[in-house]
Amino acid sequence: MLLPATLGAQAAVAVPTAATARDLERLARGEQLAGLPPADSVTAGPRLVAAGTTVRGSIVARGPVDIYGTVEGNAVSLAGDVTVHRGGVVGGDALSVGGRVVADSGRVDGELRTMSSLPALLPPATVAAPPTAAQSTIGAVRLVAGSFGMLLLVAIGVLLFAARNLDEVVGTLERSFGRAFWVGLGGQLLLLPVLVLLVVALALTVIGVLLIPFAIVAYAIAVAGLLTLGFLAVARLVGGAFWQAEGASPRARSLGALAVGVGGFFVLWLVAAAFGWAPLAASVLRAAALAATWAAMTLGLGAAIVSRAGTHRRVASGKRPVELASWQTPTPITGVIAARRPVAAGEGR
Amino acid sequence: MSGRVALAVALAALAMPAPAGAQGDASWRSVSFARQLRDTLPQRIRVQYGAGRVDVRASGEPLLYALQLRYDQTRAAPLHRYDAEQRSALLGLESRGAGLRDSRSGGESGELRLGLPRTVPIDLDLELGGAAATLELGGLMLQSLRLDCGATEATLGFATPNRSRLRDMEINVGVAGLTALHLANANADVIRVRGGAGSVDLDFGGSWTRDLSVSTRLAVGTLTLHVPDEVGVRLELQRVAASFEHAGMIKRDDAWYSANWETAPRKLRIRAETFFGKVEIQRGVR
Repeated sequence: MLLPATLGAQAAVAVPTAATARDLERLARGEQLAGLPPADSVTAGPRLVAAGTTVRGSIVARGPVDIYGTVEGNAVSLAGDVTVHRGGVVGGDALSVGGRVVADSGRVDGELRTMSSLPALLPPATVAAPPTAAQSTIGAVRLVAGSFGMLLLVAIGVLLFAARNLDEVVGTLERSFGRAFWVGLGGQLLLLPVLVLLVVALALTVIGVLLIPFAIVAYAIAVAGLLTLGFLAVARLVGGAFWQAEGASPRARSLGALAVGVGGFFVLWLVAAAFGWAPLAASVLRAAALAATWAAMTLGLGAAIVSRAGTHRRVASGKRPVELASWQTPTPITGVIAARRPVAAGEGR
Repeated sequence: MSGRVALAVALAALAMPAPAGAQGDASWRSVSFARQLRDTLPQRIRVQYGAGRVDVRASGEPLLYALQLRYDQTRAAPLHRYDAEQRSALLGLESRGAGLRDSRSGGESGELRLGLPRTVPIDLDLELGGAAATLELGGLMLQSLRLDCGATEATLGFATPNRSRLRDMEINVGVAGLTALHLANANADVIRVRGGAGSVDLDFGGSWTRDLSVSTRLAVGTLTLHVPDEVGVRLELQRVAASFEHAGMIKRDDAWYSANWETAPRKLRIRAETFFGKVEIQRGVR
């Protein structure tokens, strides 16, 4: 005997309620179950498919479902077990919400599914669609702007707490531009070998092995510090060429030059980001920005190394102009005026 | 470069997922999916799971797979695709976009349990992100096994022998700890283990039916090999700053040999590369 799914449902009390329709929608969308019957075809209580009968399409019941015959589609119970008895066949999935699917003797061509509750109506879990060109551009611009803001904060921190070191690195750049570049290049090439050497050296000692993780972290921090200090020094040097606020205090001049310099570099990145909608142009611009940033980093790293992170004052190497009369012992010692000691301006105060 | 660092930090900040648990416990759901066995032809089963507890083992049921999941439906959706023509199943969870790095929310944590049949030859591919995994694969008919662990504490075991010849076994470990037990029961020809950082503990206990070749590459961490006394061991070791505890093995030419290498009925050939850490061989099984 061949029965359409809706006809089979007529044997039980149909419940064409809004709740049932909603449940069916949740099943259809959440479980990707196709071919579910309309809400008015859902059986209110138990559902039995007798042996020798075939139901075309899917069946859904609010009570237990027992299948002795054939269901060509899915067999679903919204509140009970689905049992596929000996000789019973389900062509699709057998699904139970809050119950079990028992199919030890029968055949289910699809999946046997059970679930504690109906799925929520959520957007399907798919791999996120690739962003549009506009979204990519906006995202890239946001990223660059955020990075610029962060670096500016770091720059202010350096100005507040390590202004003299920054001055010294800038001075080193002004005096030894070429040397700074080559030292920076060598420094980059040696970063990893030096780390490996450090780790190996520590590993050779018994106690040193324990220090390896700390040494790696300390090394990374030191390198990051040198790179940051160096880059900011280059930025200030470049910015100083464009920002010459006559009459402003040295700190204000320094801050302005830094902001202009850092901004200059980030403008390159910003332009590259703004061309995110044009991949080829963006790639070229990004390469240009990368080259400029790399050059600045290399110069800065070299200057930071040469000046030992700005702690190597020029007076130590005898290259800083000495203000000879900047210090003098005010009191004669044993009747003779003390010898003048050459001291750099600003020191000994 | 500080610019790059800043870019990376900014990117990380922008990409930060929304706080978990905002939807409460009602978003958690338990589901199970199973498929009846139609025949015993080979199948390929691939499992993808981001974070949570994982348990995979043999099942006595006449099912191709029996998958049970506990998951937060606001963050993920079940994966249960089967291609009858290709005879391959893709199982697990897929992200809804918020990321599966932390499967805990509202005091609950995600879980995947998978039962596999003993009677079907299987090519098994497990991709586990941040998970605590118990993989008891003894008694299956594995033909190949690939295990990718991200930040996973995984225990892989073969309590009973694999019922098929395991042509290839590859384990890739990110930053994690891996313990593999009774590897001789895997019935494998070749085992390859690659590790980033962490500890890898390989126990070669079990029933030895053939010689075994193992290659390991571990960047940073400890590699411990437990080998039964009656098995002959040959170890080629390449290390940079790693110590080696050889358990009485003797170095000849470019390799280390156990004293019973020539006379042992079964032989284990190991090629190990490690950079920082320790390589240790222990005779006897765990």
